[in-house]
Amino acid sequence: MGITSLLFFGFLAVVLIAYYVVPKKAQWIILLVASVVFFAYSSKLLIVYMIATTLLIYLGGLKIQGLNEKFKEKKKELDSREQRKALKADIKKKQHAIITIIVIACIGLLGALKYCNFFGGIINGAVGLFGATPIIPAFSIVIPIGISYYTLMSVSYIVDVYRGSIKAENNYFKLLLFVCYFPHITEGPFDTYDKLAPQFVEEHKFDYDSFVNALCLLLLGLVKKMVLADRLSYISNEVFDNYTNYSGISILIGMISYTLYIYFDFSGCIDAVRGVSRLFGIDIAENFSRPFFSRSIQEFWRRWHITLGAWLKSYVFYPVSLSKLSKSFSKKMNTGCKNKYYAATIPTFLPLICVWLTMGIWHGASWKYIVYGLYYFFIIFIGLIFEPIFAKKLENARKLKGFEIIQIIRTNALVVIGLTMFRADTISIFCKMLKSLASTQINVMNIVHSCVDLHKLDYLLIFVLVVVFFIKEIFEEQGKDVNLFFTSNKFKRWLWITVAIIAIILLGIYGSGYTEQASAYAEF
Amino acid sequence: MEELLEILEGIKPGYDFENSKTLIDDGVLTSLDIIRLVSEIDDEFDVEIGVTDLIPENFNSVEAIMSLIEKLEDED
Repeated sequence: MGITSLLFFGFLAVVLIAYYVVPKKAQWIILLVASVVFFAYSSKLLIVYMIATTLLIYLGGLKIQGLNEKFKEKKKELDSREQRKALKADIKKKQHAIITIIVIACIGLLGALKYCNFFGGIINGAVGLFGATPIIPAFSIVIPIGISYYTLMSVSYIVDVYRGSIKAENNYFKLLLFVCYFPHITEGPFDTYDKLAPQFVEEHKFDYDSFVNALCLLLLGLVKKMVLADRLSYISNEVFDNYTNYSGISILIGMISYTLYIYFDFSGCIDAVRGVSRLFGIDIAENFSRPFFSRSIQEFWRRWHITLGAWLKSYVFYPVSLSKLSKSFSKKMNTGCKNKYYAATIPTFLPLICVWLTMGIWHGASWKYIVYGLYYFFIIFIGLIFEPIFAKKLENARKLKGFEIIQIIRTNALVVIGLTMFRADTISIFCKMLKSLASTQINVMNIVHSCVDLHKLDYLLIFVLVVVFFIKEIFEEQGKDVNLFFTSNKFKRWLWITVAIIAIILLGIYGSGYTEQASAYAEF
Repeated sequence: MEELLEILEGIKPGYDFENSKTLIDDGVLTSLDIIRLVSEIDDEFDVEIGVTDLIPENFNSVEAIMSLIEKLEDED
């Protein structure tokens, strides 16, 4: 049940009516039933994996919290500081054991379902080097929807309980709702329990203005996806699927089309699901903040798939940075390296490589995703190593007005290359595509002739919409809320809703002979 | 406080740390800066900042960082 399907909108209408009709205290139950139905419709019996994961974090959370309470009670009975410290250490040890088992079980289940064939292939390849026959058979496994999303959100919940930043949920069904909340289950964003769970139990009265604003956001997302991104996908699919037919500027057009496609597709879907969630009066996290205006790759990743970056920062980067291994390396660097900058920067190698490898492999069980993660790792780490040299050499250039634009162009060029690797079927194809960029052959019209589903007006529409959204983002970069302009009064809101619905009906890519385009990120 | 300002000056030279209350929210200190800061604070003040302490509220201003250090010193 994709978010652009009529079935989804029928489902949404029924859920909305039920949500605003039932007593306010029961609203979260409607969301839970809807989410379970949504999940079961897409994944059938595979829902048991999600239910089991939730049960695991539920019981684990209660146990960890129970140990905290036990510590508080027993602490009062102890006189000396040493005794209290010893008790605290004992409790921490038990909690650590629980969290380790749960995180390994959650990630292990994800790994077993999503990555077993990939790792099995690696092991078979390794034994093959010694002349042995493959020892691990290839499995045909169907995975439940959103497993990569709900697993990481489950890990964030249990780790936050362990860290003491949230209280464990006493009601299993409320936790289940957090894990499988239908607007965020297929392609995120990664919501955190502390931000989302309180909203589920609040009473939400129907508010006409908020409802219409949410509808505007939902329609904006659908226009981005159905009118623009799905059209762009024809161009990028043509070039990537038939890359041997193209070279030079045509390859570049394919690469840029894919970059724009994935941005408008993913950010469009996020706008749509945020709009859907707001129809219920519930705010879910923002995932994009005009990433193509970034001046560096670090900044790009703070603006693109924001919630994945935040997850990696909280649950990979910081823990690895503060691990005993990292700290001892850091101490050795502090004593052995006279340059303070390098003494502090070189130890970030370990946490950074863990972050980028996790980011790569999260996207899929393939070497290209691992290389994709390492690509960003090298750009960032090499950038850090050369930072003092660049800082000196570019001191004067940085004061120039156009310097920021050069930085933005450089960042976008690196992003386009990265996303080409992401989209190409293999690393070898990616390399061939980059190599053929050097060709001076001009065969752009071949794309036009090959994309038989796109007509001249489609190209014009793509161009106009990209320019319109680009101008909108320029205004937003300057701190102006463009959405407010369209939604500031009744007339403008309904004008926008009418235009958007007409655009989706007349210009959206759907209908007979068209298979509903799943969002690019739904497959992760 | 002076030692802390010295550490911060080493991380972002020339920035007016004393008058900023949104060091994290405005992206002045990145996650890499935070790790560098934590490492130097641990050494300078002989405390141990843990992962649970790494929340924006503890690093948004010099005063907030100082309160965190004092809290950790008290715990010891």
